[in-house]
Parts: sequence; structure tokens; C-alpha cells
Amino acid sequence: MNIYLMRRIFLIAYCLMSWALALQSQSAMRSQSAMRSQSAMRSQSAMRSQSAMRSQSAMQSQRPAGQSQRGIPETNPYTTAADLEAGRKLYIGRCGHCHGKNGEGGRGAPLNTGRFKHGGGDREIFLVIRNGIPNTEMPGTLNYPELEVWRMVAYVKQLSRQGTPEPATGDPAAGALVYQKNGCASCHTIEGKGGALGPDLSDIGAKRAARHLRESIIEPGADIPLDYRTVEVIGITGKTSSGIHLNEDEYSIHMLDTKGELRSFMKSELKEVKLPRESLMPDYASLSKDDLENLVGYLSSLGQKRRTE
Amino acid sequence: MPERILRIVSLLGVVVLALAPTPMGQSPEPRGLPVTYERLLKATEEPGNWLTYNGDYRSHHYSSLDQITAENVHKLRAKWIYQMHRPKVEATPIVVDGVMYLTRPPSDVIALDAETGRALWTFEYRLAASVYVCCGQVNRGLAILGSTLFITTLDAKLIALDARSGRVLWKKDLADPGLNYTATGAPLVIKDKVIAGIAGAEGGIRGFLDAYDAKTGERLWRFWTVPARGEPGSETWGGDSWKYGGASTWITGSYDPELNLVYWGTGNPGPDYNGDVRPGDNLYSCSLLALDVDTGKLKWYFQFTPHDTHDWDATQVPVLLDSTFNGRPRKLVVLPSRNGFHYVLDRVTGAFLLAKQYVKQTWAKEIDEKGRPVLNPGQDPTQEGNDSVWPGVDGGNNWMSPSYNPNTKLLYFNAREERRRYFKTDAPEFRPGEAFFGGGGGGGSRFRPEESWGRLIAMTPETGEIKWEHRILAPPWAGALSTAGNLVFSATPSGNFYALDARTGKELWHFNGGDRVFASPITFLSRGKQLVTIPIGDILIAFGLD
Repeated sequence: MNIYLMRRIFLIAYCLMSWALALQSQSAMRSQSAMRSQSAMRSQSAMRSQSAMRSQSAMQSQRPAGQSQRGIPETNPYTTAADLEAGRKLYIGRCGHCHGKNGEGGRGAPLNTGRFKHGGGDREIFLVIRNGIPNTEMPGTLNYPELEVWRMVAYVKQLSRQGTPEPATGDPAAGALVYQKNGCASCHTIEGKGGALGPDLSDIGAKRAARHLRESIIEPGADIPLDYRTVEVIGITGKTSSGIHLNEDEYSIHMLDTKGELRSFMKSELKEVKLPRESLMPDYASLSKDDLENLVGYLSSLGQKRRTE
Repeated sequence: MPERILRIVSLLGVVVLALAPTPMGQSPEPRGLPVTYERLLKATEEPGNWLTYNGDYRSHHYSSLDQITAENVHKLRAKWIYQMHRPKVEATPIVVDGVMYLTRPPSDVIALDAETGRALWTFEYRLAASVYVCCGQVNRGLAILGSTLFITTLDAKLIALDARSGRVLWKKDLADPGLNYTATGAPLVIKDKVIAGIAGAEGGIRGFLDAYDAKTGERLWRFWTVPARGEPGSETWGGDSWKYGGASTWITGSYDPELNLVYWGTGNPGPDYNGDVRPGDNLYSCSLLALDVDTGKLKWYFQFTPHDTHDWDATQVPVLLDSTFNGRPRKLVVLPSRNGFHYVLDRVTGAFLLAKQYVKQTWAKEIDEKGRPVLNPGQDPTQEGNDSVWPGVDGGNNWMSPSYNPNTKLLYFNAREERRRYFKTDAPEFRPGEAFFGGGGGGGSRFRPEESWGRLIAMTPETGEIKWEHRILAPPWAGALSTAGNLVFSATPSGNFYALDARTGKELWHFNGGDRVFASPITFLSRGKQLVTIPIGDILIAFGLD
């Protein structure tokens, strides 16, 4: 007889006999029943406690000890000259490459204007530095000691009192006409009106310094925002599509194409994927000096009516 | 039939079943608990199980199971999912005859039916104290001996649990979590000892590696990874800097029973980025230690990155190989270090044999004949930020498990190609509950996609020669698993779990899990059928052929 068939027969026989034995014993049945209900109770309890743990987990953030939101004072407790100097060093290393060494702005908002979109109080600045700003390139510093965050707050406040050395001088009303005449709204949105291929400019004046706006108009590829990097794909048949790079993994790539359509491509069906360094935005270096400054003035005025310190 | 006869017949049946030979390709009959030390020594003889963090004492993270093969892997499909509802699951489970023991953040343990993914019991651990952690509330796994599971907790405890119920058998303090000590790694059981590491070098701890009695929890020895004043190696620390010197031990090591040595990597010195306050090599940070298992005495050490200022912990899994080097049979230990070089050492003596660059790196001109890096100028963190440095702060490789396949004789691991920005600040003062960085490393969003990518590398470990590689869009955080089915499994930060042909690197299968992967895959048998599991995001998914 095949050894495996023999094993199977013995196994079945063993099960049947065990079942017969179990039937004979009422006490065994009682114990089985007890086990079943115990198991059900355990599973219920596990579900309850799992749910409790979930809510506990939601409450228990990843923040290190002593950094809960509730205990943050309204006023910076660390504002001595030594704190400011330490804050300056932290700022230069941590923040300067986006916000500028002197807070003049760049990829990040200017910090020398005295205006803070997310609030200019000590506590508000502390929370922005520590938690970052969702849906922007501003990261948090969750793992930094509170002391170091406060020292950065002290230095940022000092920067904010310096005033911008290069205010926008153009005429906003004239700049609005330049914006209109050059068809900027076909790609950019202001207060809900315009296209989606370029960044929303509704509060760009609060986010970027005049210097940075001027540079972006003359040379749009100099610093492309992360969410507006471009992609170009070439299909196996040679057909090319380009647009804003939305998402990508090892197998697929997704874009908002230049016609404003959401497009998905499987990489296996593409001949080539290019990530050009150029911006989709044409450069406007040919604008007259007045038009350029007026346009910068207009853009700088956007979002400035929002909350100030 | 009288009950007595029934019992005798059924007993005979069991005996015959036990004596019947096992068909080829199937696992032996389940043995269940206890998992003895002898079983751990021969873990590779139980391919249906996954008995230690890295599968066996040599940390090969390899399985001789061959039901899932390069030919049929395209039929792989999800069998079940276990939801954890916790961020950043880095755990590698262990599996004993149909029961999977899994940890979830912060320090919970769950026993799962490996066939269905249903929980058998859950041990929910409430942290006893608020703890400073640098990198998420993670836990990487368990060890087992007999019928006891061992876990280290985020608040720096070592806990023994009854594997049948999740009941606590004993609980011991590793260190004071109030002083920024924490624990995240899976312990390693050797003989009757539980070897447990510590974490917290980003918080200014002084690192150590401990051994505890598995039955009682009594501490048997401690090796301080930062020597105190007057001890050998203390001359490599300026002033009192040793007191907060870091050198944590947060990744499970390997063991050679013949040499009676445990091999364990150590983390960065503290403060991470400001080395000015700790002049010297800062022993034994960024090193591989070989310790006598019975006494905890140091047999040898090898420091990969003396006086590290880039947070390049040497907490990579040390892989033990009995192989040849330059034509001579040798006991080797190999690891691709976080600093960007792959190292080959003699594991009897610690002698340096080879270092070979495997990712782009800018900090070292070369590794000299003694294994010491010859530094390039201008690569230290600066006050304004130095963005010319490769690899990044997370290194060319990290804690993720590599896999050594004895059939292909290749080492598979994920490499991280990254340029990053390093800056330093004034040296921090140690404060409970706060970081001890002295600077930072990051600024990833500043860099273009071509300055940050990943590769799964298949390397001849004795020479560092790369046989083939598989490009990944972003630097990965997943481990690798290779199998006798000529497969390598790994995963990407975009959530793709994939299988390659272990011989050629040809991609054979993938599955989009929809979240980042911070863990290593394993494989085992459930009811005689091979399953592969991996945590993706906050779920664990099991895959099988049908």
C-alpha cells in the first residue's frame, strides 16, 4: 500500500476515534463549550481593546516626551542674547537654504517682512517650525528639542523685525493688466479663476519674496516647486506626452498633461520617460522693466490682506 | 468498542504516522512548542518555520522552500491581511508550526493563525513611561526559546511571554527610559541566554549589549559599547563625552556556535553631527563587536567609521559565511556598511580582508590596508550645511535584512543612493526627553530625483563584485528574502512587493500594497503550503499560490 495513502487512512481513523471518545465524555463537551465561549470572549475583548488602542494611538502622537501641543506657552521662554545666537546657528543650518540666510525668502516664504501667514505669535511660529505645514514643502522638526525650536523662534522673530531690504515697488493695478495681457491665467489660478498647470497664486505674495517672484518670471526653471516638476513620456509608437509629474512608481507614471487631462501610463508601454529640468512655463525675460516690476508688484500684493502679526 | 481498545489503536496510528517517511519537498510533521536551543541551532532544517529574526544564526535570511519558484511565482496572490493600525511597522515575525508571532508598534505582540491571519491572542503593552524616540515608535521582532517569547519594549524593558497565551512571565528593566534609553530590536536567544540590545544614541545614551537568563530574567553580563574612563578604548573619547557617547545596539546580531561568539553591530556616536566635542575615534561606535556568549568579553572589534559625523551606524546585519577568500578556506563575516562600503572580515580574528564601494560615496578616498578610511576633505557637516555628501544620512544600506543564497552564492540587499545635506549646530547638552543631535542631515526635497534612488544588489560577498542589480525609484527600506525556488523577494517605498529571478535579476511578479515598506519578507509553510509575508504600511499581507 502507498505509504501516503496509509497515513491518510490512519489519520482519518484517528480522527473518527477521537470524535467517538469525545462524544462519550459529557465533561469533555462541557469543557469544549467553555473553551469556545472563553475564546469568543477573548476575541470580543481583543476587539474592544484593539479599538481602545487605536484611539490611544491616535492620541499618542509620535512626538517625543514633553512636546505635546497643550504645554506650549504663548510666549517664548528663551530669548536671551545667547538663545538668539544659538537660534541663528540653528536657523542657518536648518532653514536658511529655503528661507534665505537673512530671511529674505527663496523656495520658502520670506521671514523678514513681519507678516506670517500662519500667525506671528511665538506659539504659532513654534508650532509651524515643529510640525511643518501640511501640503507644502515646509517640513517639521518633531525630533528637535523644544529648546532648539524656541531658539529658532527667537531668531525668526528677530528677522521679522528687520524689514525686507527689497520691497516690491511696481504698481499692482498695472501688474494685474500685465498678468491678464500675457495669458498667465491659462495656467495659474487666482482666487479660483484660472488654469491648473501652474501653482495657485492666490496668496503668493505671502509665500515668496519679490526677488524670488522676479526670478521665477524671467527664468521659471531656476527653482521649480516640487509639485510642478515636469515629465515627458515617449510611447512605443513614438507619441510624446508631457505635463506635470503627479505620481510614479516602478511600473507606472501619472501626469496632468498640457491639455489639463489626467493621464496614466504603464512604463512597460513606454519607450522613454524624461524628467526635464525645464519648467512648463515659458520665460518672460522679454517683458519691459516696467511691466516686470508691475507684475511683481501685483503678485506681491496677493495674499497680503491675510493675518499679520 | 471499549474505550481502552480505541485508545490503543489510535495511539498505534499516531506512532505509525510519526515513523512514516516524509515525502520530498514537504516539511516534517509539525513539532510545535517547545523550540529548544538545539532546534534553533538547526533552524535551517525546519524550512517550514522561521525561528529567529534572520531565519538562522548565520543571518542568511534564506529559505530552502521551493514550492514557489521562478516558474510559478506569477500565480502568487494575496491570501490574507492582518491590520495593525499602527504607523511604521518594521517587524519580522517568527513562525512556529502554523503560528506566527508578530510585533506591532509600539511593543505589542500578536499570535496569528498562519493559515488564516486570525489572531489567537494579543499582548497589548502600555508604555510605562514617556520615551524620547528618534525615528518612530518601532519594534522589529521577537525571539523564542522553549515556550517563551522575548520582546524588548520602547520603554527599555525586556519581557518574557508565554507563547501559548501571551501571559507575562517576567519583565526586566534594560535601562531608564527617562534618560532616553529605548529598545526596538529583536532579541537573540543563544543557549539559555537572551541577548538584548539598546537604542537611543540620538538621545545621548551610553550604549551596551546585555545577556539575560531566559528562565529568570537575571542579567548575566553587560558589555558597555562606550568604555568608561580608564577602560581600554576610553582614550578615544575627549573629556566626559563618553558619558553620552551613543553606540547603541538596535539590530539583532549573528552567532557562531563553534567559536562561541556573538557578532553585533553598534550605532553612531553622540552627538551625531557635531564631532568637535568628542575628539578621537569614539570606540566602539560604528563597529562590529565579537563577544564571548558566556562571559560578554570582547574577543575583537572592527570599526567601520571612526569618529563618525554622518550618523552612519554600523547596525547592519552581520552575515556569517564559511567560504574561501583568496583561495583559502575562511570563516567570514560580511556586511554592506551604512558608510557605502561592503566589508569582508575574518570572523575568527576580526582581521580586515576587503572593502569595496557599492554606492556613490564622497567622504572617503579609499579604505586602507588596515580597513581604516582615508578621508576626503570637506565632507563634514558645516554650520551652513554641506550638501556635497554621498551617501545620505540613512546610509548606503541600513538595518534591513540582507539575504545570502547558498545556491547562487550571492548576497542580496537594498542599496540607497542619496545626496544629502549635513549641518552642525552647537554641541547639545544632554536633556531627558530631548534629542542629542548637534545638527542634522536631510534636505531631501532640495535634490532632484536623479540624486536619490535605490538598487537591489546581487553581490558576490567575498569580492564585492556586483553580479546584477535591480533599480528602484526611491531609496528602499525593505529587506530581502531569497529562496531555493530561485527567487528574491523585496519591496519598494512606493509599496510594490516584488519577486526577481535570483540568478539573473529578471523581474517576475509584483503587487502594489499601496504604502511604504519598512520591513523584511519571510517565508514558511502553512498546512504544507508555502506562504510569503511582508508588512506593507500598517498591514501584514500573506501571499500564496492558491
